[in-house]
Amino acid sequence: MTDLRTDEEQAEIIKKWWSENGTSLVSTVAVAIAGVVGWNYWQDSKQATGEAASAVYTQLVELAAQENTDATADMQRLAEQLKTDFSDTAYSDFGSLFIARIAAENGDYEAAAAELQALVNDADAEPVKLAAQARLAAVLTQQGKADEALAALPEKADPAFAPQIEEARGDALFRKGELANARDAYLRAMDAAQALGQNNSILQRKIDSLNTPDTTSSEDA
Amino acid sequence: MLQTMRNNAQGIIAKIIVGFIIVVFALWGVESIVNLGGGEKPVATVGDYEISRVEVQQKVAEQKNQLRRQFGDQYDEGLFNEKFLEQSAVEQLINEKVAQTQADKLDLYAAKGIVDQMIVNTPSFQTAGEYDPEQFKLVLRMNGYSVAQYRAMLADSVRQNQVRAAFMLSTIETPFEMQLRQSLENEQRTFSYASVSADQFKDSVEVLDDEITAYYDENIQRFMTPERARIRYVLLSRDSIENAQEVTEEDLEVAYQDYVADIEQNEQRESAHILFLTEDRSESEALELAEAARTRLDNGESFATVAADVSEDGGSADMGGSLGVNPRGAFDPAFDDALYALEEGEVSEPVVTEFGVHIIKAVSVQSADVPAMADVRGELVDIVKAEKAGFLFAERSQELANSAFSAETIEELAASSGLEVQTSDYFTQTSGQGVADSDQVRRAAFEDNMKLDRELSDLVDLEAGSMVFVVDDYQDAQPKPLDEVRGQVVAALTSQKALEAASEKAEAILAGEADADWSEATTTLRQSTDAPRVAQQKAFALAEGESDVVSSPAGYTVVKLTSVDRKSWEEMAVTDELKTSVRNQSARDDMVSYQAWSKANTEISQ
Repeated sequence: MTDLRTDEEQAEIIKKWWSENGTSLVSTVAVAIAGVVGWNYWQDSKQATGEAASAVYTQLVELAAQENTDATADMQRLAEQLKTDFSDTAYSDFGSLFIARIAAENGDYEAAAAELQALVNDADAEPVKLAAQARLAAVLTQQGKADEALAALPEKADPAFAPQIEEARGDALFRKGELANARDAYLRAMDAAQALGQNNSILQRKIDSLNTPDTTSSEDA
Repeated sequence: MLQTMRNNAQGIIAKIIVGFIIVVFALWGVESIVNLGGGEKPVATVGDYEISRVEVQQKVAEQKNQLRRQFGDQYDEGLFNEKFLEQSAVEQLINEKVAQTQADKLDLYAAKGIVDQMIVNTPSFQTAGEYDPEQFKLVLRMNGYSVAQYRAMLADSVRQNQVRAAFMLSTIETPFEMQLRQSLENEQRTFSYASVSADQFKDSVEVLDDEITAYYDENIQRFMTPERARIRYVLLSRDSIENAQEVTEEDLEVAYQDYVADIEQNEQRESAHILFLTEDRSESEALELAEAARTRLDNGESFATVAADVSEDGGSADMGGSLGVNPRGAFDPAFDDALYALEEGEVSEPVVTEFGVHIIKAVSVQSADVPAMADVRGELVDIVKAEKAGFLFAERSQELANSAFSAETIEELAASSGLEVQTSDYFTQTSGQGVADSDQVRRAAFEDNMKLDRELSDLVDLEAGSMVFVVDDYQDAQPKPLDEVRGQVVAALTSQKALEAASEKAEAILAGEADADWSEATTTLRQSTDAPRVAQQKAFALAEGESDVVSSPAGYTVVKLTSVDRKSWEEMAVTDELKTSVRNQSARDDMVSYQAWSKANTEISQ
């Protein structure tokens, strides 16, 4: 220290500083503590909600894994519970995937398409959205709405989901009778599948069944 | 200064600082300050996770254990490249952390009850079919996990399975999609094919000397002798030490007693019992009932009759009370003691065990014959010698290892250890005779420091004993002279040329310039036909009216697609088999896509 204040003088300065700033310091600390306590409380309640959702979801998955058609009503109930009670969680989106599946199994493609469209619009998780896109297109094609199916698909597919998306595009084009374009889409699906290390024999059949002397010679060249 | 601090400690500043520390500790714990120091650099970082060297080593050890289980006796540490195992361990860990990162992002939870359930249901944490907390802790300790770590691992796997299930179990297979596939599955094609085998040209092709030399030069790697080596070694033989042991009569006597005890231990008895449970009644009541049954037996009723009448062991009552043949120790000790005190056919007094009160019958006694000492003398001598030699052998092996460490040459080592230098036959990396029968020896001999620098080896444990060796002569791989392999070269060239001739012929047939022996087939893709498989596959990739040549096992085949019979998808009824296979495939595809997406969208640095 360069100046030669005594300890008493220093204490005096600090006391003065305290009387000026003490209140705001104490309130800042109080706010900080309240914040931390609040954060912990929020975390705990989030954990509790998450665990409850996870328990409902586990029941749903167990039923789905059994592939028992008698369980459809229970599955529907559990999936809807996930959507209504836990709408902010990923489990809600998972529930929607199952609702769409159940509707399609029952032949209610209208409902399946609506559920999938909602996921495409609002799902938080990107991969859920991408899977829903391909499934939506398949359901629309089933309904004979090939143009709508094509409109529902992204022009450029994410490489990870490109096999499903391009195959769905190919199916829609096939249903429209645009065979050459369908074949191109199947070829893109095949390339994408191979890029993921997958070999898909049925896709190869779809491509080969649309071969014409033109296509074979152009690929040989 | 100290004085100042002490004074100020009473002051407001100190209180504020202490207060601050209290708040920090209270809210975030001691770790918040202790953990500020850094650790070792991680092998890879995946999202918020780090992969440590320890984790990689743990994974490698796991993989080795798995391989050992898979290959059993054939497992050989040397077969698997350490680098390769490590790479695949890192790859696997990255995939695990990627899945974890994405599960975190989705904010998924594993309910505590589910994790509890998994632990309770794990067979390795159970004793006698019941969950056992002690066993649980023991198994975890043996595998180096704490309970908290293990629970966290299970929770992670639960959360990852939740995502997996969301994709795999919710797939949609529309009728159109399946009908389309079914129409392809059912499609029939009619095609003609003509095979041109290469063999028919083998006699007519000519192989020139120039071609032989050229082929030999180009493929010289295929015509090498394997590298080989011969070693000189000293062997501390187990037999020689065993044979030098003296065996006294007392030794034999002790060994014989052990031998007899061993046989008696393995004695088996066939037993039967009549049981009165003590579950719902007192022991004395059960004893009374047992006495009554015993009296009936004494009055000449057969054991089977009484057992069928009153025994409360539902499993045996109708089978004469029989419990089958069992070794000693199979039952409750009180039961065993009573059973082994009986002569064949005898029936015991009532015996109390934790299950209830039994009356036991020794149905038959299958004691192994105890041989006389004279008959097993030879065997006993060997046992005693091996026992006595065990320690001495270990000691002398250690001495040999020590001397090998300081010795310069194998002769010096032989002299200091009183052993003889022997010479092996030549052997290669893959096969050898005598001491070179051991692949441990062969592997070591071809290490650079052995085969080139001629160092003394480490001690090698063989079945015959312990050995130390030095490479005596080493011959590198050599090309075999052309004359020796001429036949091989000519054969290879002939095949090659015959195949070329077959290809030319096939192309000529395709162009309509040569005649051929055509056959025809009408089939789906899956059905098997007389046509070569590749030709059939080709027929399903051609357009109607097209033809092409494919390489087939025997040579070449010309394929000509005549007609396609495919029904429209609208007419198709979908089989269950197809439905299942489409479902499985969609599930697999979605899973693969999700994993690929996760990997592409997680930050990974290595």
